[in-house]
Amino acid sequence: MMRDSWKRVAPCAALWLGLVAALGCKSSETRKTEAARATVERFFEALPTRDCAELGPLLIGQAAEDCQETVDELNEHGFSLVEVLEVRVDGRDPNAVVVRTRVARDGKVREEPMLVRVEQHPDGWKLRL
Amino acid sequence: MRKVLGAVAAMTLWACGGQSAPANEAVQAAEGLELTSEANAVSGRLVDAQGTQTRFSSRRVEQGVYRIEVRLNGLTLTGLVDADNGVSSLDGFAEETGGDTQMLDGDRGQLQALSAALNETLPAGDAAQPEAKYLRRAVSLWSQHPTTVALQRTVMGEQGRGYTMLCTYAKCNGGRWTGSCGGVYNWYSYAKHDCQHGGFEYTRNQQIAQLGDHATCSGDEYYMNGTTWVCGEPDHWSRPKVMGICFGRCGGGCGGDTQYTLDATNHDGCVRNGHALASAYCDDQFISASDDELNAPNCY
Repeated sequence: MMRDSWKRVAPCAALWLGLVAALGCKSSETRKTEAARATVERFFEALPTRDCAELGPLLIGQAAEDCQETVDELNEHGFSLVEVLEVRVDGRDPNAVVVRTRVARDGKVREEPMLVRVEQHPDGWKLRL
Repeated sequence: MRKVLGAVAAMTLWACGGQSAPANEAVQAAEGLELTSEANAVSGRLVDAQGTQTRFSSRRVEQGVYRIEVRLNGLTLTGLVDADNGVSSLDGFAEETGGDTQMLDGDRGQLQALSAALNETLPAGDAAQPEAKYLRRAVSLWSQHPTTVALQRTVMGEQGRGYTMLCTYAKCNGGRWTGSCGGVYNWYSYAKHDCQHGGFEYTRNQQIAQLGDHATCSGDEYYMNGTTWVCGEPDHWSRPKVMGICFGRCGGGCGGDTQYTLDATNHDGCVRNGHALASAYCDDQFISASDDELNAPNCY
């Protein structure tokens, strides 16, 4: 009797478990875009501090090497993030994400969106400015 | 069994791969520019010393409308240029996935090489067939495309609104388009940009320029230091006098076309004033100058 009930319930339970798992497990693409978005937001939040101990690890390339200069320049020009418009994995590089942002300079919101490139590295996601 | 089948498949692919068309092409591709012209169309490829190829085509799809395509590094760039109505649709995407991507340094380098090769090979100005001329203009534009600007965009060009011609300022020394000014200049003031140093009205973001094809020094421009012309580029000096390497002309340096415009002058005033070609500070000037490059007529 017990065994028959289980037979009836099991497929339904498996279906539910599968659905819950599917909802719970984000796709690789979603994980990447969320990480990239968070990195951009974190960078712009920390930008006014000019603290390269925090900002440096979020950068890669020349901007990372010249962190203080980069950060000072961006601050002198009042660079700030207004909103993230769209986030997509780069069609040519699965380890890079293109973040379309609206930014402001000197208190003026730029009409043209600015693309920010965020790359996945062994020690985390980083902006290539 | 699966391992055996896998090995057989691998051997077959390896054997076939040795004779496949792409491999043959890679071996046979000669370094340099290959250009094929046919009725209302031009196509070809540029192969560099490392064997890297940049393929291109441009064809007239109807009266005054040209379909342009350039493929490199897994990137496809497309342009539909409606020359008669001054409207162009530009796009760029990953060849394999069709997904969005960005213009990167390596892409710009290859496009600059292609732009230089087309300038050298195609007849100058309006002597080039329209499909070749618009290919040259689109490649020149893409070769300066900043990483921070989206590849998909619409460019609207209308004289007076979209672009303002500065042909007169490209002449000096009694009306010469080219050659030495002989000390008789026709100054345009000011080439302007905005950046981290200040706005358009900040004097260090302004230059007094002699536009036109009048001088060059080791592929660079001249700027006035006191009373002496110096070869190089000033970096945010206060209203320096500058000239050379076709200042104010659409495209990087002296391209095959002779369009001297206000927005191209301002773009040169940015990228030749302490900012790199792809500097995000010059994005605005690049975007403003895009319609000039695609649509403005040649001055001569």
